[in-house]
Amino acid sequence: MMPELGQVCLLLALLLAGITSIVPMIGSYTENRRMMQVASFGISGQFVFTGFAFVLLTYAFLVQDFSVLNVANNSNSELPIGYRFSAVWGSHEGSLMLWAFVHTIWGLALALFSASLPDKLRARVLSVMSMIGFGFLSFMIFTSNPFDRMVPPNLDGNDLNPLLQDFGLIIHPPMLYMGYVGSAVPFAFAIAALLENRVDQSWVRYCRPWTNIAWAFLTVGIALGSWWAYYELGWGGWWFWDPVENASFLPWLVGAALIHAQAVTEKRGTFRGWTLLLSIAMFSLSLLGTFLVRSGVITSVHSFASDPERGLFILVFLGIVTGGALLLFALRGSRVRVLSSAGLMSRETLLLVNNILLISSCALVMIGTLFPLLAEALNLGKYSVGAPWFGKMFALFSIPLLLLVPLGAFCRWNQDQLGRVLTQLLPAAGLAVFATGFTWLMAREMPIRVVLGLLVAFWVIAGTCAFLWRRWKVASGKRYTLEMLGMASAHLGLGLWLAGVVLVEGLSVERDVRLTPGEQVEVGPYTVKMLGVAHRSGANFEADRGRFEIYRGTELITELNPEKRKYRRGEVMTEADIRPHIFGDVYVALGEPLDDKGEAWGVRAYHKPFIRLIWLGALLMAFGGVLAAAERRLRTPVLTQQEKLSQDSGKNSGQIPGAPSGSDSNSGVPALNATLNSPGNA
Amino acid sequence: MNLRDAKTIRWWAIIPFLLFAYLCVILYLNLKSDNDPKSVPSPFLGKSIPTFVTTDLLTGAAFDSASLKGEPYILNVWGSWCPECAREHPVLNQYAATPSAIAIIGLDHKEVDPNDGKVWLSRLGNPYRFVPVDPDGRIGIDLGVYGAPESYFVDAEGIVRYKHIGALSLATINQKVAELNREK
Repeated sequence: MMPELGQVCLLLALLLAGITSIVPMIGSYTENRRMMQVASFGISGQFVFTGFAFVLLTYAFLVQDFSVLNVANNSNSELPIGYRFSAVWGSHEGSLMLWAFVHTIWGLALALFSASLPDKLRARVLSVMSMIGFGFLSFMIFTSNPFDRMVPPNLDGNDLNPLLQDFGLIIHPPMLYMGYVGSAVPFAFAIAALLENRVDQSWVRYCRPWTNIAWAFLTVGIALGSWWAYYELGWGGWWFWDPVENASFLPWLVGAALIHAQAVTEKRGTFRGWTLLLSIAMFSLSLLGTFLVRSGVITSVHSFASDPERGLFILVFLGIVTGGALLLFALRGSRVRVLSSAGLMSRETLLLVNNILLISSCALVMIGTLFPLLAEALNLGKYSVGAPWFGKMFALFSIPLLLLVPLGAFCRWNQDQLGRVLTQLLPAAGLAVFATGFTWLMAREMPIRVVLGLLVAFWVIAGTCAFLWRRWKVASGKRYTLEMLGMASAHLGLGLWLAGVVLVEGLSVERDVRLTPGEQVEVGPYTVKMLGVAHRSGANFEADRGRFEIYRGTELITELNPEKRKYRRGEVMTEADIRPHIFGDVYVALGEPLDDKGEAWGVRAYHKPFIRLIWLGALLMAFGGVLAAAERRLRTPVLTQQEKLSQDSGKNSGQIPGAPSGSDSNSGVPALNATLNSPGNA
Repeated sequence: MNLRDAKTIRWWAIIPFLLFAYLCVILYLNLKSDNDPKSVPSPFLGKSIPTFVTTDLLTGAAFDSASLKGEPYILNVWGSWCPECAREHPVLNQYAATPSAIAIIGLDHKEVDPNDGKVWLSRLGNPYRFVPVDPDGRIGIDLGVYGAPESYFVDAEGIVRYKHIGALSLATINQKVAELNREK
């Protein structure tokens, strides 16, 4: 009965989403308050029903109802209880269920926190959110129903893919989806603004915290995926430029661009069309990612037949959502003409360059990911684009971007002199050179590209610290706004991330050796000594468990126990064991047994210096996004802002409204401008 | 209301839309073509299928794949542990019941307990002429199987003409068998 109840819930949610897509939208045009008020009820209803369906599906996994096809395919009577939760979203159908549920969470949050918005804008935004929900719910119900029964029922399940039986995979998809789906919020705002034909700053101000939080979730989600790949795949890599990874990286890059563009639009009034376009792009790329992963066009995790029907559905959905949005943009968005009075050397210009570089990187990753498809369509044969290409090309755009990071924070809006900015950054540059030189001496042998990479990383970190220090010195009263601290945290994270990447790529020691008990191998500063391999039984697997002692010099540090697991279903998994440390991990993985007695084993022993910085950096970036989202100013009622704006545009008509005074007269902004702009600073 | 409303639509604003439309066409073409990006074509395509010797699940008699030479057949890889196989099974039953059907050989892949396989076949029906067993998956490795269900269409000379990954449909079976017969 329960699965049928879930089915009914989904249909009710679909019905509500349909109603909420239409009624408030009509209401916003006919100025009917009643109709507009349907929006928040409809959104709450979608949340309740989708949430209940989600709970019912989870219940089916918990009680192991193998008459449900989805459960039979992805669970097993021996599956430990924790993984029965994550098995809910381990399959295609289940992950759509999660998508839909997370979408209604964002919708509900939006309905709850948008009371200060003008009625019309609010109705339209919630209506657009419901349209997206409608598309996803119908995709799920008509092509990938998670509650499909299986006749006759299976006695036992097929088991969850062992790759997914892991803590990282319990939390990675929900985080990633929070990010993906969260990008629907700026999208909905952009569409509502275009429909209103009022492409001004008010929606951007309200939208900024949402974009930041969605992007922060995306960052955490990607970082978790990278961390999982590192310890679970047994190769010690943290990023593989795999199409599925790239699919999540594309909206991240555009999201980073959008966060900066929104800042310009909100504070200076320029970049409006661009902000609209990026809002559309971020969500579209999230959808595209879903399409690529789910349609089987590029890759499918399972060898189950990919379903072209599903692919077609998402493609049509993508076509309507993105095609419609871009057409609307072409017709309406391009008519916004804001002439900027900003000079060549100004923060606006730097942020424009930031956006161009981020979008170029995004385009590059996208081309690399889609090139095999393009070649296929043009009959050029089978191609695959490898990690070295991505790495080199990506560095091409990211290095200038990183070099400009400290400049952006120091440069004034509107007009500045390059000389002044560079003079202020001189101590930071000195510090960066000193730190790099010191590390070079400490590490003795370092390839030159690592030294250069470190220099860039230290430059970003020192530049950000210099910004904080300068604010501390020159400002009186409120020295930092949350927005500034958020920016500083994200930029520090970026620097740490880069340092981690450079050190791991340049200094990792990887040894692939044959070991028998008693033998040892040196990796970096550590010695890995093999004690032996023993057998052990897990809940749903049998394992060979290695015992390795790790020494630093002659001092015993720890024992590591990597495993080679054979799951009941037949898959063999390599479970690496890692001794994490901020200065560098020791990573040991069991390969294959190399003799009949089972004594000699192939062993992979790695030293991964500073790899933790990569994820620490990502967490700092995400933290920065959340911190900036908490900025007080962004929560001031939008209505007054709009009133001011309309007054301003009345006064200013005919002039060049590069920077409407409306936004500057609020709290927060002047502080930022005043200190960094006042000539007396230097 | 707007700060500045241009009277005309600017031409470049349509570029994102055009790029997106182009992308959609590419994606659509890929969706329509039925080549699976992950399937590197089977190395045995156009070559002889590797021979293997094992026992039959139901009769317990020895089974030698070389004895099949001289007639076309479908080698279907299944297991009672595989729900997708259960979904495919009615299609195989339906095909086996047609008068012109060629033989289907069901390789019972990675079956933990042979009884499971027997029960499964008695419950869902048996479309197979022979049911060779592959409990440890060794035959599967020789054949290059990477999941079940999977099917090899082999002609009278023992040459693999087509490999299908995933559940078969009746239409696919009929079409591929027709191709096997044509090549004869």
